[in-house]
Amino acid sequence: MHGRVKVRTTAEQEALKKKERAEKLSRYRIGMSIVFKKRKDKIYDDELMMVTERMVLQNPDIYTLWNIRREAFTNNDWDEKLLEEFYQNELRLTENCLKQNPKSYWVWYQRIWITNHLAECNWKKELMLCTKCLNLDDRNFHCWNYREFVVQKAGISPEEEFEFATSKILNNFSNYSSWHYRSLLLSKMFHNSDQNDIDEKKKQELDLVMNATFTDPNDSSAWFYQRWLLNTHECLPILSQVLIKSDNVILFVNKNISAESIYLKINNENENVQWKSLQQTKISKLWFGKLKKQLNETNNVQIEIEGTFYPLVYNNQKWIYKKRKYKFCSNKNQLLEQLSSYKQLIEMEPNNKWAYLTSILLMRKIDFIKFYENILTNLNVLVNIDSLRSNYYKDLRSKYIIEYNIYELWNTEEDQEIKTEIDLSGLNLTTLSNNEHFSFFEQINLSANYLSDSLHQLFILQSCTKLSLSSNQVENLKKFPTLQNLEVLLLRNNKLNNLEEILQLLTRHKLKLLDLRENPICNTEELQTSIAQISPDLQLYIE
Amino acid sequence: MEDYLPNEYDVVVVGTGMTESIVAAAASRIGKKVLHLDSDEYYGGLWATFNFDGLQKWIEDLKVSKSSAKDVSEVDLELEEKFLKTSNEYSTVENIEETWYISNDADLPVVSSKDTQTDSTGDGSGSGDEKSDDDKVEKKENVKQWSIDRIRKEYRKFNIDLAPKLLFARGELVELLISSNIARYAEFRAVSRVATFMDGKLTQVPCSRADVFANKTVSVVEKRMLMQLLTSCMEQGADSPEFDGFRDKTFLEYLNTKNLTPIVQHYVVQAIAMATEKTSCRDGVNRTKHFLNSLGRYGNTPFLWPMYGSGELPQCFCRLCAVFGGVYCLKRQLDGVVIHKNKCKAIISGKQRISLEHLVLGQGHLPPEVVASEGEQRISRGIFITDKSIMQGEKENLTLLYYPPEQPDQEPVTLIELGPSTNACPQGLFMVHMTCKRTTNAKEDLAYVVNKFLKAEPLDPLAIRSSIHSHTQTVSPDKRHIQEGDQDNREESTEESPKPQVLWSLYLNLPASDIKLNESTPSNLHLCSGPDLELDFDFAVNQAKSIFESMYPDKDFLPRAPDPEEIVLEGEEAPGPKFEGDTEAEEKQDVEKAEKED
Repeated sequence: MHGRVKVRTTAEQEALKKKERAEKLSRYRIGMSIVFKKRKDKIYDDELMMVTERMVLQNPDIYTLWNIRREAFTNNDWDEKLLEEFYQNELRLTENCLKQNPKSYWVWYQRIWITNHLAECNWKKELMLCTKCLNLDDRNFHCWNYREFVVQKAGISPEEEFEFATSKILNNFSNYSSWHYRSLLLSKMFHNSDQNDIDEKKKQELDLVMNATFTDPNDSSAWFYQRWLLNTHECLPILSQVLIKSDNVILFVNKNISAESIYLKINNENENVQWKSLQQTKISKLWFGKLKKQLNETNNVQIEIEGTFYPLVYNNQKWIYKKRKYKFCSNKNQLLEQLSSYKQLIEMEPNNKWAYLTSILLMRKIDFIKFYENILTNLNVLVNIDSLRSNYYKDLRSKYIIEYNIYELWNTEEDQEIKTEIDLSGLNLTTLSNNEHFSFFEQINLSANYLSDSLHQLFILQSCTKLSLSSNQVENLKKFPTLQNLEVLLLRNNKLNNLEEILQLLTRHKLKLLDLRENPICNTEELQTSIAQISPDLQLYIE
Repeated sequence: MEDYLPNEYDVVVVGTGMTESIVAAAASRIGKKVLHLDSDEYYGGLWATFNFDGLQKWIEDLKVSKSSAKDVSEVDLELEEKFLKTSNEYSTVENIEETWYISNDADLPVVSSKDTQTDSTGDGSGSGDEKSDDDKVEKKENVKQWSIDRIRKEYRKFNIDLAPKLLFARGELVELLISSNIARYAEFRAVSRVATFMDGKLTQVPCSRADVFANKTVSVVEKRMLMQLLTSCMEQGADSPEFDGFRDKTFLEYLNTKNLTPIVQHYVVQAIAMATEKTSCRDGVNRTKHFLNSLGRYGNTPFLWPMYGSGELPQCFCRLCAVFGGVYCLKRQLDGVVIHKNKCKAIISGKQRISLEHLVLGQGHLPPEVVASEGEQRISRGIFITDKSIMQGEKENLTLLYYPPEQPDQEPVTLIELGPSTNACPQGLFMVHMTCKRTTNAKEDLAYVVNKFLKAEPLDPLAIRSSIHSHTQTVSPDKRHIQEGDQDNREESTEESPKPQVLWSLYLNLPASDIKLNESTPSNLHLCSGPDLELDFDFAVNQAKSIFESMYPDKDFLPRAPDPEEIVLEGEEAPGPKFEGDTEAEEKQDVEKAEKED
C-alpha cells in the first residue's frame, strides 16, 4: 500500500548485522596486516597513522595499536610544530574513543602519555573532561585515576579538589572510587596540617560517613571509608619501645620509617648500627640492630628519630626505652556519641554486622581496657550472625586478647623494666596477629590454643629462647620459621607425625630441649636415634 | 470553508485530549485508518497549554457560546437510524476569575530597547538563553517593575497549563513513552525538590538516598527509621503480612505503631505518600511505593515535568498517529452521531457524514442521551504569576508541594511551582499552579493555601516606592546601609514580606473527570475523560489502554515505533527501472526520506 511505513523484520536486521560483522572482520584483518608489515619495516608514515586511527576508533581496546602509535611519535623526525599537531589530534582521538568505551585502560593510558609529552597542556580543559565524564558515570575509577593525575599537574590544591569530591559523594555515596579518592585527598591534606586540623577534619568526616551508614547500612563502601578514618593517622613517628641487650638492639616505632632516619647516640655521638628489618623491607615499624661495641653502663644512650630525642635508661645489663601511656583520642565525646547511635542501630537491626564491627572499633579507640569484655561479646555475636567470616572474627578476637594481655603484663612492670616473659596459654588464640611487642619477649607460653595454622607468624618472636606450643593441634612443622635464639621448644600433646620435619627443624636451630611427648611420632622407632645423630646434646622428652 | 474529508474510517476520534490522542496513536500504529477531529483550533482541549496571549483568547472565546449544532431535520438518515446531537456541556469551565495585581503601565523605566528587539525576534524558547549577562542583571533589578504591558508584551515566553501534571519516573506514561518510542518527540525537566510545610515553614523533603544522606535536619537514627520504613513499603508492598493488621485502618494508624519521630512521620505522610488522615493503610503504602519506585531514575525526585507544559504530550501522540497515516482536522465541529441498532455507525460533521467502526469521544463531545452521571470529582484550579519562589534557593528549582487541609471542610492542594527554565515564564518570574478537588469554587477552595504562601494583594508601584523611601528614612543611619546603597534597601524590604507577590492570577473550575455513561450506550462508542485530580497521567494512560483493548483485543498497544533509519523506503532495496537523469531520481528519494523523517 502506498504511503505505509514498512519496517525491517528482525530476520532482515539480523542478516544485515551479520553482513556488517563480516565486513568489519575483513577490514580488521587487512588493517592489522598493513600495520604489522610497516612496524616490521619501521615505516612510521601517515598511512600507518591513518590506518591505526581508523582501527582504534572501531576497537579502542587493541593496545598493540596504541603502542605502535606511541612508537611512531617517538621514532619519527617530525618537526615540533607537526608533532604538536599530531599530539593534539591524538587528544581528540582518545576523547572520541573514550566516548565509545569510557573504561578502556589503554585509551586513558595513551591520554596520560600524550598530555605528558605536550609542550603546553591545557590542564583545566582536561579537568573539565574528567568532571564531565564523572557526571556521566561517577563510578568510573579510570577517570578518577586520571583526575588525580590531572589535579596534580594542574597544581590544584587538595583543599579545592576536596570540595569537588564532596559534591560527588553527596550526590551518590555508594561509590568506592569516590570514598577512596576522598581518603587520598585527606592524606595529602593531613600531610601539611597540624594535629588539631587533622582531628577537626576527621571529626567532620566521621559524622559525614556515619550519616551514610545510617542511610544505607547495607552499602559497604561507607563502612570501609569509616574504618580508614578510625585508623590512626600519625604524622610524626613516635618511638614505642627500645631494648638493648649486649650488642643487640630492638626498636619499635608506631609508624613505618626507614633505617636512615634512626640515630643511636652514645654520649651524643652517633653510633654506627647495622639495622635490619624483619622481611628486609626498606621501611618498617620494627628494626633490629647490631652494635659494633659493647655498651658501658655509664654511657648516656639516646635514640633520635626525625628530630626527637628519646633517652634510654640502664637497668640490669639492659638499656631500655618504653612508652606505656598512650594519649586518649581527642574526640572521645564524639566517638561515645557515635557508639550510642550504633547501639540504637543494633537495636533496630539486630543482624547488622557492620554496626557491631564498628561498635568494636569505636570501643577499642575510646577505651580498650574498659570496653574489653564488651568487645569480646560483640565479636562472639559476629561469629554467629556472619558465619561466612567467622574465622576473621576469631582472628580479630585473638588479636585483641593478645593486646589485652600485654597491657595487663605492663601493669606488673617496674618503672625501669621491660618484661620479657608472657603467658598466653589457654586463650583460644587462632592467630598471633602481627603484634610487634612479640619481638621483645624471650619466654612465651602459647600452649593450649589453636595455632596449628599460624606457625609462620612465629617469625615475629625474634628474641624468643623458650617457646611452648603444647596442646595446639599442630600437625606439621613445615611453616615453622627459623628463630635464631630458640633453645627450648615445647610441643607436647600435638599431632606431629612427620620425622623429616622435626629433623629439618633441628638442623635450623640450636635447641637444648625439645618436648615431643603425646605426639603420634613418639611411636616411631628410629625417632630417638635420628635426632641424636643431628643434635647429640639435645634434651629430648618423648615419654 | 470546511475541508472535505474521506467518508470512511476505522476509528474516528473527536477531541485531542490526552486519552483521545493516545487511543488515536495506538489505532493508527496498528494500521487502522484514523480520523482525529477537534472543534478547537489548538490541540489538547482541557489539557492544553497556552502562551499568555493564547490564554487570553481562550478566556474570551469561553464567553461566546460555541456555534450550536445543526438541526436534526437537516440530517439524512437511513432506515432504523437515530441521530443524537452532541453537546459540549460536559467540558464546561466555570468561575473564571482573572485578576491583575500590578498596574497597567506604571511610570517605571522602560525596559531597554535591546530587550524589546529580542522580544520581537525571539521565539520564546531560546531567547532567554541568548540574552547577555548584562540583560539578566538588568532584569533582576527590574523584579518589582513588571507591568501588565510588559507581561502582555512577553506573552510568548509563557506556557500556561490548564491541567498541569507531572510524570512519575516509572509511571505508566514514562514507560509508554519509552516503549512506544514517542519519547523522542518530547523534552522533560526533573522536578528538583519536593517541599513540605512543617513547623511554620517550608522545607525540602529528603526523598532520595542522596537527599537523606545530605540532610542535616534529621538525626542519623531518624534517617534509619525513614529508610527502613521506605524500604519495607517498597520491597513488600501493601499485600505483605507486615500490614495484615491494618487492612481496614488508616495509613496514619499504621505509622503510629512504628515509633517514628514526628519529623519522619511528617515526611512520609505529607510529602512521600501525599496522604491525609483518612488515607487507608493500603493506599498509603501503595502511594509510598509508587513514589519510591520512581526515585533514582532521573534527577533527585521521582517526578518529571514536560518542557513547554503538559499540553505538549497529547501532541506527541497525535504526531505519531499522523506519521502512521492518521488524518487530522482541527476547527472541525462534531454535530452528532448516527446510531443504528445499538451501534454507532457514523458521525455528522458539517455537511459530511463519515462512517466508522469505532468512535472515540472526548467528554466535551458526548450526546447527553448516553450520559448517566456527570461525575463528582470536579476540579478547582488556580494559576499565579509571581515574582519569586515560595522557597528561595541557590538555584532555580522546580518544586512540588502537597498541602493537606487545615480544616475538615477543605481539600488537600497540590502546588507546582515552575521557573523560567521550564519555559513556563520569562526570567525573573515564577508560575505557580494549584489544584484541588472542588467544593465551592476555585477561589474559595484555594484561598487558605494562597494566603499561606502568596501575597495576593494589589501592588501599587507608588506604595512600594514610598515604602522604600520611608524605609531609608526611618532606619537609623547605619554605615553598612550607606555603603551598600539602594540594592541593600531592596533586599531589606523583601525580607519584610518574604512571600512571593502575585502579579496575575487566574481561577477556574474544570468539569468532573469521573463522568459515567449509561448502559444503553453503543458498545463501539468510547468515552475519554478530561483531566483528573491525580498528580500524574496514569489515569489517562490506563483509560486509553482499556479503550484500545476493547476495540482491538488481540493487538499490541503502541509497540515500539521504528526510528527513521529502520524504515525501508520505497525503491531503497529494490530499485525500479532507472531513468537517464539518475540524479534527479535520487533527489526525489531524498525529499521523500526527509518528509518521512519529519
